[in-house]
Amino acid sequence: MKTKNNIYILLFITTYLSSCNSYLDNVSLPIEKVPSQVTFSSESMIASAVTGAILESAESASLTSSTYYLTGLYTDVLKNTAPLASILPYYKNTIQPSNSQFWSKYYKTILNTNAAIEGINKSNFNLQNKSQWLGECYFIRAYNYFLLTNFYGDVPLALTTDYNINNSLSRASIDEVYEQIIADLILAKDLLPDNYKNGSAQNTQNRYRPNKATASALLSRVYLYNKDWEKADLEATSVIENSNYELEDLENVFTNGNKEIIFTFANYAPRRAPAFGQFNNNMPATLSSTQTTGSYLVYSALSDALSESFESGDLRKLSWVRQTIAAANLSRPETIYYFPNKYKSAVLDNGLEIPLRLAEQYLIRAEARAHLKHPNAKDDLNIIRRRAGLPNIDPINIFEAIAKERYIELFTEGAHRFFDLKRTQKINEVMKIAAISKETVWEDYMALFPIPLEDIYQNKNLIQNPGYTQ
Amino acid sequence: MLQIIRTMKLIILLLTLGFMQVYASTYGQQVTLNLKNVPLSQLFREIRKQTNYDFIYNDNLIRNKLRISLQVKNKDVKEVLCDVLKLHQLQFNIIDNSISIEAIDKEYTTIETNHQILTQQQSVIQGTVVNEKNKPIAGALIWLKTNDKVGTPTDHKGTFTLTIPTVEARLVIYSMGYEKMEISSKELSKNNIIRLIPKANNLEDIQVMGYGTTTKRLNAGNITTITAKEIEKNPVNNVLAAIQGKVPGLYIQQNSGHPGGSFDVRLRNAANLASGPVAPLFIIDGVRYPAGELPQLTSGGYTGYEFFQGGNGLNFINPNDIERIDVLKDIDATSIFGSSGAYGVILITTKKSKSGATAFNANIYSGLTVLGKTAPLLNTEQYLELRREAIANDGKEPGPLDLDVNGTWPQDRYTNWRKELLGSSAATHNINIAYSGGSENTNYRFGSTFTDIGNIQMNKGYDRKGSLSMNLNSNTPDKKLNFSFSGNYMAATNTMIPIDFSSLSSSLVPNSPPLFLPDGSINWDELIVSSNTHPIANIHKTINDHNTNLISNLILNYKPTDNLTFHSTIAFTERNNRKTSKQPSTVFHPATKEQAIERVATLDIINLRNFTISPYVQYRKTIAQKGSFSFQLGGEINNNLTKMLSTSGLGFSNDALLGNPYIATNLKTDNISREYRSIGTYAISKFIWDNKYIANINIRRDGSTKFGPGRRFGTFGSGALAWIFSEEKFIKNNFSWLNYGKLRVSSGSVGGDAVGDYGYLDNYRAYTGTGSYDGTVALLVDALSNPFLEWEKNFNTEFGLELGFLNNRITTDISYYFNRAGNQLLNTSVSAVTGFNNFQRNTDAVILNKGLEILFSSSNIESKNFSWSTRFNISLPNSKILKLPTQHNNVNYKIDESPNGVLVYNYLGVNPQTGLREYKNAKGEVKSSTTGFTQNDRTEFINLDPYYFGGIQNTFRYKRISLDFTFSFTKRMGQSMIAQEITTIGHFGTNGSVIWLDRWQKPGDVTDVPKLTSTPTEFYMYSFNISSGAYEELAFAKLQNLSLRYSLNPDLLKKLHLKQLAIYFQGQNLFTISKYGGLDPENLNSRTIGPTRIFTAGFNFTL
Repeated sequence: MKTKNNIYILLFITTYLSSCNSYLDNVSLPIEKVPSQVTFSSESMIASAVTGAILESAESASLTSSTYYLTGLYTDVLKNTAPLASILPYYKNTIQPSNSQFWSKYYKTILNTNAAIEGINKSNFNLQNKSQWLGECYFIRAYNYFLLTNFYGDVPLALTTDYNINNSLSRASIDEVYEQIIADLILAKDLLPDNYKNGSAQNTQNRYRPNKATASALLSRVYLYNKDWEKADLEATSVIENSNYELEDLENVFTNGNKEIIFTFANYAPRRAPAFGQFNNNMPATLSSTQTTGSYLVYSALSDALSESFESGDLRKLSWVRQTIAAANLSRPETIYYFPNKYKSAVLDNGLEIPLRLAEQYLIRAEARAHLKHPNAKDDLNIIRRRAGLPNIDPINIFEAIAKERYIELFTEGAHRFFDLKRTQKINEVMKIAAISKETVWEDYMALFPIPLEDIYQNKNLIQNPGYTQ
Repeated sequence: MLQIIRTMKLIILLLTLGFMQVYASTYGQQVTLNLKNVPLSQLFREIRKQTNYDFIYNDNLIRNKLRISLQVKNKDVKEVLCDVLKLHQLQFNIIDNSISIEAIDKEYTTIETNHQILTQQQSVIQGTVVNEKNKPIAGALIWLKTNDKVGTPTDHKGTFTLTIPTVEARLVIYSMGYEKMEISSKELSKNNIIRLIPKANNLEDIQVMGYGTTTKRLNAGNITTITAKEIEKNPVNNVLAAIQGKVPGLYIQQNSGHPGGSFDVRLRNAANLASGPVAPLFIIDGVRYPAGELPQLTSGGYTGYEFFQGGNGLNFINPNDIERIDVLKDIDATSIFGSSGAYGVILITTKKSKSGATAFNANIYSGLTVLGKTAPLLNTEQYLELRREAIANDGKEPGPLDLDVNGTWPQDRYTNWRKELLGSSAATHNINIAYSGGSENTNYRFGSTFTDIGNIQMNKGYDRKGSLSMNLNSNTPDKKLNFSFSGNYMAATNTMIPIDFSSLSSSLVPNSPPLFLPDGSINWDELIVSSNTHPIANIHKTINDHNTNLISNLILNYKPTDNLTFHSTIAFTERNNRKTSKQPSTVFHPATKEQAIERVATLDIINLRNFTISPYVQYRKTIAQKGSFSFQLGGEINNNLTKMLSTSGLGFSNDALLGNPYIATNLKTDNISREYRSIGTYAISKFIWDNKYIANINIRRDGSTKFGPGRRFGTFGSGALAWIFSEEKFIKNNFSWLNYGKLRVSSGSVGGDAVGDYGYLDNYRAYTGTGSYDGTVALLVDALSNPFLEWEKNFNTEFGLELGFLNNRITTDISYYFNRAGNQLLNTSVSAVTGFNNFQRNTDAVILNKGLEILFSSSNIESKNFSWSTRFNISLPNSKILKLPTQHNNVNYKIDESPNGVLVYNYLGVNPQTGLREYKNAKGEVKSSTTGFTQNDRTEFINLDPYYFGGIQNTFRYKRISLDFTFSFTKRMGQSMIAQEITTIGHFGTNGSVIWLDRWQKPGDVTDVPKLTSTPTEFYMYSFNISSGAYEELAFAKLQNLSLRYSLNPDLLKKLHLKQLAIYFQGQNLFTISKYGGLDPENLNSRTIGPTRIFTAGFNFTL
């Protein structure tokens, strides 16, 4: 009996235990995911990882956190026309660390560029277009750091994927951040191709990925912000003289295929020209007495300050601005709203958001040359004016003239107005006046956005910008 | 399964029988026996030796019966025989000095010879012995008190005929598991039904452990059992609502009152540092069951999260299909499940076949569901008063946008939006039928259920479920091999649009325009549209959420020799979810609805599959007459597979085309899969000496694919000791009022793997939109991976004391546990600078979960016509962080405080002079806003764990009427009603609760409600919500359940040709005693429907 029992038990144990380890090793991997080592083992997969970083950057540039829309409300570009709780803190300049929303998206993009750079450098695969992929990564990283430092001031410089390092970074000074941006852009300029290429490294008409001139264009802006006038002039000139770029007819500036674009983000489902929905949304030219702009889900129009800044005869007011008359009712007199009309349609390839276009390069060069006391500074300014149907000028204060031109030319694009006011130290002066019509109060500290509270909690080395809840 | 349970039950019961009735009787012939593993014939020989009885039986009758072990002292011989023989389906009859043994099924006539001729003195007594449910008890024994040689057992119909030598006599009635009863023959002649009362104590109730059964007496671990009898009293959709407040240490919170809503289940604060509570492991009929939140796809127009709060897997098990629930708490009880059971194990056993007469049972009830407790809202008059005051406080006049006060909206219009949107009552119907029967070797049960629950919201829809179950159980005639199969299949359809109108109904301004035009379309022109739609437009959406759920298992049990058992459970569950949702253009404002892109249709398909094989081999041996030793070696292989396919179409040219996403202009699909495998091997040895001392040792090795290669396996172990001290002589002699006393202790280590799958793996994932950017696929970094993830290490200890007094009419269980959790797996928050918000890791933090649990039950009054019993339990959990994680800086962690809490600013109240809320920072400065405060100024800690919780249940029976009610109670901190308002009241567009009527109005007013303002100064009430003012202590009691039941008179039943018929009324969540701002303290959420109130009436009959 005993032996019989023992045999049974022994048989049982051996059959059972023998299958243990291999059973666990055979677990299937998630079908929808790709292990990193697989990603960095082929050209097209690496192109996809880099494309992911570009797409992530497009997400952060627009979609819900639309920089042009929210910073327009934050400054004197847009006014609030109907109640909507989510935009109030921006319009009233009362953003709190709890609703500061750009930060995490920029860093998510940066992680994707860092991961791609590390993966490409580690990859044993013989890459045909390594320099394009790396160049694109450096450009996207620089572009996101440029946005970060302009919103938040000193920011942590995350240059690796190691969470341990990134989670305990202190804030690097603005100068250090710019040093990194410039280094990345110089590298990108060196690595990127002359022509526009697509994700298969083929030449393309679409300007959805950066090329050498794109890096130059952003460099010229960065040098301008850093008051390095010679280099700004030099980089802007290289773009202006590049035969790929020409100023377009006002009507076509924001549609795909025009030669004014230096770099634009592709529209792709579900990201379809959100700017069209925000400012137009098929609202007719007249609103009845029972309708508000909110009836058409439009909550902002050009501020009075901006709509009154257009000179008479400015074609931009005809092409890039749209009027709607709201009939009088108990709560309002007859009101004329001026809505931004740069983004005219929700159709794909239309109503593009364009981070870099040629007109800005002329204005950059004008400003740089004005600082360099260059006699031709006003010529670049006049090129932009003439396109808008305005006469040439020779202003006494050319800096004021350029600032005004930028206000009118670049409204609801990127965060130009907000950044321009800050870099020219005009922000407090301008915003204290704007605050009166916005029925709010502007404090100096509001020039910087608050760092999200979660980040302050998770990283002891991060210190909140002054004026906000720590 | 049942056969195995029964076999084990038999062995264990026989081992322990002696304990029960030691003091029970002093009359009749008594025996003292100490038998180990002997055949029945040996028992008869022993009895013959000690008494003057002879035995008459056929050898064939007892040949194949199991051997028995028995230890009794001075026990009535009839009781011993009744107990032992009944388990063998035998009964006996005493005629003079002879005891004849018969099969219980046999119909036979008693008293054939001596008592056939009636003398004048003699009389014939007839009667039926039934249990508390009016079911006949076969094999019960009836004898004369004065002469125990005159007696008879009942037949399989529970009836007996006894001729007594006198006109009147006292009779004694006894059956195993019931209180012994005395009755006079005169009394019996009036009503020939004798109803036996089950023993008040539950010491001999069977408890299901992992892969086996034991009795509560011989269990060294901590297990609480809830049986079908309890569950059936609750007319609920989810069994969790039925066991809430009944199990010490098990905290259940219902998050939404909607049918299909979610529950938080937490055993003993099983909080690891991870954000949410860790739910215990649910095992249904031997297989891991995904009982928690339902997997969700976010691709659709809605995720279902708002309405169901995530849903719950147990919604797909009909509570009436459940036979018993065993909650395994300490490390000894859960050791068999190893690391999977680190957070507790809840075993659910569905109803199984029983051998016995063929029976058809039906249980049918219908009822109404209505809205539960809600906070009262401001009416138009009150609202406008507050609005005008708020505007005046700001020194303003009503502006053009103040539609409510500037005359645009009528000032005398009032709509009770809550009544409008969620005030209807919904019908509930439930039908269960079961057919069972079989012989000794093969038996079966077939069951079917149907449930229909309506929606109390204005957007109708239903939740309908139907199920079929079958169970087959078969033995070979020699009982060496047992085979059991059971299957339960449910199909459920929910068409309730998953939008909860709680938030809308409490924030809509009371004089705002009607939501609908007279023609039923949405009143877009007058409504305040906040994005491109209005919440009310959701009623135009449609959803069809179809689930099928299969639970099946197969058990093989083979006993080649008496002391060796091979056992294997193969179990399989599968749930398929198919959810079709349509979002027509009418959901959107007409200004945008021209855009076909707004029309969305989604089809989500989710499949979950669990497969478990758990074999073991067990060897038992009796040592030196008094000792019993068992060794068990086994394992578990588990495989969980989740597959999700989501198809979402955007852009349809017409609402009528939404049925097929394929024709959308923009089609998006996503295919997701996850697999989890685990494997465990264990060895368990148990030793019981003299039925007094119990020692268990378990060793286990676990592997899990939650971890990367090289870190998958961990070894854990535990031990337990128990001492039944009431068996010691000095206790027996000196403390005769103490019937039962046990001390137990268990201790050991167990792992934990409660993290997501593949956390160790560095992955890329395609962008979830179209996946491409300018024609190139976009891959994104999926998460921050951690290749160093490994097992959590928990060290758990428990002490228990179990006592029984006054013939076990009062029993008490006291448990104290002490669990140290280390190497905790934690999804830590990290700075967004890392690219993500969280990172999974093992932290060096140490958490202590300790607590006291008391279970008390008493049978207060026991008489023939009236009885009253009470069951009470309370749990006092206490968690604290002993060591803060070094790598972590969670804002809310504080040493020596619970990990489940928040650190907040110190709220001082409303300043009587200014009417503003004030906060004190760490320096002691008082400010009216927390702007400029730092983390150091969060000086107040709010512990969000319950301080205590429990329940009290009373059962009354008067003749055939029984009344049962259960109160559950909790004391905890919760976010106060005023902190749950979306913004401060006073600005345009938001109504609030009547608490705001107490607002500050003029200097000198002392109140906690601040001065009103028409501009939301504290944006989103930010400062207040993270201050101590946002929390209040709440102690509440709920009448969880009330059940009133009347069983029909057997005479009437006979006429109706029914075996049993009962009519009942049941109510769930009938009222709540609480001061919590009118809000339901259960889910603490003003924006989600709380538990609903349910009233049902029904009947239960057996053919």
